[in-house]
Amino acid sequence: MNEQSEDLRLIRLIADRDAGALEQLYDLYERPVYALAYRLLNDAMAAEEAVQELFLRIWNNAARYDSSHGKLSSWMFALARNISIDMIRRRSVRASAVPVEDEHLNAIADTESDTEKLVQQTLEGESVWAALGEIGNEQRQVIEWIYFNGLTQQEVSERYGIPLGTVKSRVRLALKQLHKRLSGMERGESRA
Amino acid sequence: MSERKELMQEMAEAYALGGLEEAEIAEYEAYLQEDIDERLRVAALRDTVGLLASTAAPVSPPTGMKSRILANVLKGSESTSDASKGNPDTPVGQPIEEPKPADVSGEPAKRQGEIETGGTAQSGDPRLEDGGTELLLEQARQGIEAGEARRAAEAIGNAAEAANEEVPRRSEANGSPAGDFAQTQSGAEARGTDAGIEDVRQARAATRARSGRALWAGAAAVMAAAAILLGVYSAQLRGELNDMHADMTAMQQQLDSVKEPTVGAEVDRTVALAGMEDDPQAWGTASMVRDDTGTHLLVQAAELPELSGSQAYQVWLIDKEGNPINAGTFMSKSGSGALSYTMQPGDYEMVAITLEPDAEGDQPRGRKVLVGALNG
Repeated sequence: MNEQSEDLRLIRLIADRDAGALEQLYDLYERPVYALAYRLLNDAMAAEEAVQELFLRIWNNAARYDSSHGKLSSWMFALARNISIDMIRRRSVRASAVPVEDEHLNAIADTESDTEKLVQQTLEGESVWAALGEIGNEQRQVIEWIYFNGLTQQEVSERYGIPLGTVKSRVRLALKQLHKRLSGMERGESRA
Repeated sequence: MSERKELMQEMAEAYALGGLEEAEIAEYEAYLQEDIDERLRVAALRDTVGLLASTAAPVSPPTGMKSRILANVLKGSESTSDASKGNPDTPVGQPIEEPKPADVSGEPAKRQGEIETGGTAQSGDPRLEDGGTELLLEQARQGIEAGEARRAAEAIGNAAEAANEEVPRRSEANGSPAGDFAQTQSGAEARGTDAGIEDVRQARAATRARSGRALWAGAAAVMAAAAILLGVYSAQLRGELNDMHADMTAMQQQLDSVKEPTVGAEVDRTVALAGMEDDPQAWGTASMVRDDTGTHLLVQAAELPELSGSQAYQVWLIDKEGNPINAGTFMSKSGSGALSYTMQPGDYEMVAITLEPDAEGDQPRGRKVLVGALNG
């Protein structure tokens, strides 16, 4: 059973209020969603709150999931990001911009670095990093500001003094290039 | 292609990434309802954006997070998730059609600990946190008031009883049946028996006198209790003051010892710190110095990148399990900086210096600039 069909099976069971399935889904995604929330919030307790809110929403809304709108993992990451960005805005605390190079020491904090899951996650991350490295620096920066710092295109334009049209074209170009380079992974050839 | 269609399709990437304003999101989602091809395109873009999450550095979740979260979700789903049910942030039927930058309905569910703590704080009396004395005094005050009210009620009752005791006797003498107080009183007045009225007055006065004495006795007892409590509280304060004096004396002694010159310090080892890929020019040394007050890490670094804004350099000791231990932060000047840190005993694998966004972090967030192996 591949990743997507396994995810679908679990989300259907969760829709039927199967607590065991929720635990299985949690086990599959705990680390990547926590890592994303921590990356955005830069605070362990807040990241845990975000993950809890994510699984609470999954538990309560699983019946409405429609796979034609994208992979379950994509939806979960988008939701985890939204929850985290909203927490940042509510607290008026902008998470410190973390440089791209921060991976190494944060990785030291991970005490389960030998697990298969983590290796797979790291490999996937490296593939995405490689794809990001192939697009232009300006495009990569805009992705960082919007996706990880929670800014809108308009806010990026105002904060960094870049014409709005330029920001928009960089976003479009960046996503198109990433989509082209990562199309194999998007089909679910490995779990995030 | 119509102008609107072209305009909308240009928003797809920003929509999937989460970079649109609220009004743009609403406009684009309305358009998605009428363009099935665009919906498919956006679904693919969402999957691309979802992969960005994998670039977040791996971080171990806190111990026990899984059990806490699952317990809270499963236990609290009935009571705490109403907002999520009624107005979910992202309808699951339209999974990521609204990756709105800040569209999250309701507060995130509280952590178990917070719920319990909050419940305790709410159900208990916050004045207890002040040692209970204030609460006890307040209770004493309420006790006095309650006692006064009770005694006032008793006084009225006693007066009524006294009147009842007097009047029936007269009623019996007059052959009248004993009625209620009002009836007998009016009966006595009708008969014009001044002596009877005087009896009632005396009975009332006696009752008031008894009640007044009881009231004052009660108040005096409560005041005595309050005085005892204040005495106990005062003794506690004196005790705390003595403790603080003792602490201050100990701290002063420590300060005095710090002022003393170190005698016989020995360097356990010194390692060179090498610049990382992005900062190959940076260099430094880390020495472990032992004296009679403990082991100290002395770090010196040079040719560091200039700091900007609130940035700071932070020194880390990495133990055998790979855990970074914060050894302090420093600000470089003209590319040079130094720091000393009194180490806890233990085995350390590495010393590293990172460039941090500020000096407040307790976990590494920035890039490594210098590293040195301690286990070589």
